Amino acid sequence: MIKFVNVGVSFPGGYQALQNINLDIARGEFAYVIGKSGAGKSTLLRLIYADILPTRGVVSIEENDMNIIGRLQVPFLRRQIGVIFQDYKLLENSTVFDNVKLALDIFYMKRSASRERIWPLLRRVGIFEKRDETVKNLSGGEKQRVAIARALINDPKIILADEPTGNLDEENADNVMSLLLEGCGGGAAVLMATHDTHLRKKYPARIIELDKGRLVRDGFPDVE
Amino acid sequence: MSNKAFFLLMRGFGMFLREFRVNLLSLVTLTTLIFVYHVICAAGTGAAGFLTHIAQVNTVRAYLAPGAAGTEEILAELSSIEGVAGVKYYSPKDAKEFVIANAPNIAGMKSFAEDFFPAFAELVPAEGSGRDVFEKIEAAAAGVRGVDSVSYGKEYMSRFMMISRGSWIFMTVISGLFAAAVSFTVYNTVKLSLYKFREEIKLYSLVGGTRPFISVPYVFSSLLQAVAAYSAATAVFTVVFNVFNGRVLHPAGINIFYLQSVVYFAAAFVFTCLIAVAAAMTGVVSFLKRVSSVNED
Repeated sequence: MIKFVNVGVSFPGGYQALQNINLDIARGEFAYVIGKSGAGKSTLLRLIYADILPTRGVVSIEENDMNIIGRLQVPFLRRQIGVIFQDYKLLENSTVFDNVKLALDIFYMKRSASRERIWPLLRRVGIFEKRDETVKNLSGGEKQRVAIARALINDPKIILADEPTGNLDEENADNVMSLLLEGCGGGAAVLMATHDTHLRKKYPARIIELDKGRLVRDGFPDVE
Repeated sequence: MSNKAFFLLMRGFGMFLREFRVNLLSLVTLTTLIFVYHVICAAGTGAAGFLTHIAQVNTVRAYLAPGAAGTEEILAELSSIEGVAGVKYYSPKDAKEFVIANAPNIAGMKSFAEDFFPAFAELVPAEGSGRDVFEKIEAAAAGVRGVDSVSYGKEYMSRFMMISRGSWIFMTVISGLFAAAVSFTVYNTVKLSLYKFREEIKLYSLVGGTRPFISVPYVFSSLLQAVAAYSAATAVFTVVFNVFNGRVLHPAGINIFYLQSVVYFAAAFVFTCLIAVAAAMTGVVSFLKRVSSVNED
């Protein structure tokens, strides 16, 4: 589903964020992307949602070469990807409902039709009661659940989570993990960048480790 | 209209209403610009029309040589010139009366002898004749035996036409400046809106919003702003013009200014809207190029 072949990324100034990365991630697979700060975790995720393009090699999503699909096709690719950030990236002055609705607006969906899809999902992520609350009034855990709801609303084929539990306590981190695993159970490939070793032990899965932009480990904990 | 287009236009309309107070200053600026443009156009077209009108020449005057014999033959020959619709003869006596009638304030004119006033023939070109016809008649009449000189006020006509043309050039320059000012105002307004909503734009981009999805509401909102400014400016201008023209200019005997035609207002409206849309699109495209990255952190 997601394939990296000899992928390298250089930023202006010559900084090599990623070097010679080869990866293959299947549908329904859950993988952690780990490494120190600056190892290239976020860059790897940005390549998948086409926020940047590789300087070398090929990144393909469902057989689509990201170097070839063109700028106009990028939005249609992103519709198949749900992205969750550590800093949530929510509209602080909008309501919970409107933040999630944003992902349905692009399909020109009316408010009433959006409601039919958003309400059940808000119940699922446990934030239904706060649907009309302004996001700035929510706690970190609640905000992250809103971000997850926005990422899941279009039933994405790929879920990318960049340090989604970084700002959360253990209970909220568990909630986030169960939601991501639920998405994974639905057939989505989930890539989660994290520093949290405790979480990795609690929810073991494939680990992709980066160090200074190089892939230094790719395997499951039991075969490491 | 398709559902998609309707959805985007409604978003643009909502944005226009929501940002009305924030954009009020630029709306007032646009209204003022359009009002000033209307005033300049009314003054310019009025002055140009007046100058064109007074530069109108209806006859070519052929002065007969003193003592020229065979007046009847000369007149017959002048009548036969191509483009001449009629000829009126003024004897020295008629010429004197003509001058006295047209310059009544020149003292002592009546005491001059008729011999001081050369006889002339006024050649009336066919209706609607252009300057080229006047020139041909002038050349042909000058070649008629017994004709001393021919004139149709060429210099006088040229000078007024030059001033009239100058006023049109001035209005074209003003139109250019107007276009630049409107573009600049709309461009800045849309940039401010885009900057204000940059996080929302990034998120729409993240979840798969296309360029048209993101840009159309901003462009439509700018168009609505231009329409609102144009409507307000035109309404104020119409009232001010009618009051000023009716109460100040007409009583003072100045009747050269008139309210422009519907065609002018329609053309100015389309012109304003096109400038606003073009400026908004330029602003949106340049902004989206800069925020192409969803996660710049």
